[in-house]
Amino acid sequence: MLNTRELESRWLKYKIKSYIPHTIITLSSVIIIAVISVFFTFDEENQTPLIAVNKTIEPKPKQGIAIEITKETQENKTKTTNEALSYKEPTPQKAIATDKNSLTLTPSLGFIKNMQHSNIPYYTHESPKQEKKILTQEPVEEVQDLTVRESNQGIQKEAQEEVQKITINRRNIVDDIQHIIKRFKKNNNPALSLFVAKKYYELGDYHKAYNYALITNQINSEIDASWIVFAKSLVKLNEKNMAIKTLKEYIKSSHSSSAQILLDEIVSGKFK
Amino acid sequence: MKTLLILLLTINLYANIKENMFNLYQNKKYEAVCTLGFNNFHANRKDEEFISLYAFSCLHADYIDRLAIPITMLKFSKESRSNSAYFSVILMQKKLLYHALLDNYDISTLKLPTTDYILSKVFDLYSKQGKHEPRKFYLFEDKNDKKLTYKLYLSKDGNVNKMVIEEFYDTITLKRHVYW
Repeated sequence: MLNTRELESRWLKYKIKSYIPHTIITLSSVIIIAVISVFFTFDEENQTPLIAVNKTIEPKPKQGIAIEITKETQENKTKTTNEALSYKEPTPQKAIATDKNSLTLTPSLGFIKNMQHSNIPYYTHESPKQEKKILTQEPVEEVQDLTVRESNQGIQKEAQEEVQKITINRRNIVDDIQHIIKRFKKNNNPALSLFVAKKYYELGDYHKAYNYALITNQINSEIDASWIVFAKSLVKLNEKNMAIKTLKEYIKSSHSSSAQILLDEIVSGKFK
Repeated sequence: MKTLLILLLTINLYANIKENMFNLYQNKKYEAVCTLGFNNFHANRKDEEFISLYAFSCLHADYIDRLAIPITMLKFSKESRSNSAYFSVILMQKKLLYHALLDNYDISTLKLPTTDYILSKVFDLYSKQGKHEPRKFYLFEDKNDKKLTYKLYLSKDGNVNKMVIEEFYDTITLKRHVYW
């Protein structure tokens, strides 16, 4: 009699054993595919570092040369410059090959604006002191004007205050110039006469500008601005040749660059 | 209370120094600002506005070597980093030009960024000369203004060789810069 149960168990074992190579092959293929896929994805992610590594390989010879040079410097100091020349030459050539356009760097002065806004008084120069002096004298003269008005018109005291306020607001440049002329006559300060000359030039009164610039030059012949106003006024008065002549004379003695620039502009016809 | 008062006083002192420096800078007294900044640098080392003001003053006063510390300190804002790069280019160009003039080092093949500062202009003009025999002085014409010329030469002051750049407009000397 055949033992069917034993036969069945043996058949099952045989069947299982027959599947083993198939499972091994499939498992190994899966593992291989997984490993390959992982390998490729890793390469893609690290492409840039790989290139960077290639790039960093290039400077190696430079370091080598640099080491050689340092060794040589220890041996003989006089040879260093020549060797530095021979060493430096190859590196910049590469730089030129990569960067054709030269960069121009400009300063960023934003911090100055910030500082101006942060309660710091702007530009305290010597000239404001003069303005202050002018201001201190002005009220005296204004009071005198008011007293004249008082006697002539007989306005009440309350009204005077209002008028005083109005006169301060309505004062024009001509009044300012007159006050400064009065002060100039007292102390002969060239800064005041120069101010007057400049103001007259701005107003287009070139005759007076010329006169006051001339007076300033007579008091102090070393003020650039005064000679410039003088020459400019001459040009405006159709005395171009005279202006050129005086500027040339002034440049000879002072070597002023601003005067030279103005002279060039007058000669070339840029300044009319 | 006392500590508060002391703190307020010190803050006020620092503010005054900065204010003074700013006023002097506006009045173009760059050398004074540079020395004032140099003397009070440690107390204001964390103030980038102060450092920038100090650095620009030293630059205008031709104290280029003093830019070395601001270059390393300016890094916290975009503007500071930009200025730091600007100063470092000028400092590098100064050192290279000085080396080239003294040791006949060839800088013609170097390609560096440039700036609007006079030293950079002269550096660019000098490097265009190519490799050459050392000369007593160099005369360069400005790219944009033909009347503007720069004279570059070395002058000995005791043991130190000083690099001099003179700016001319026609034949008139505008400014003399001395570096060493």
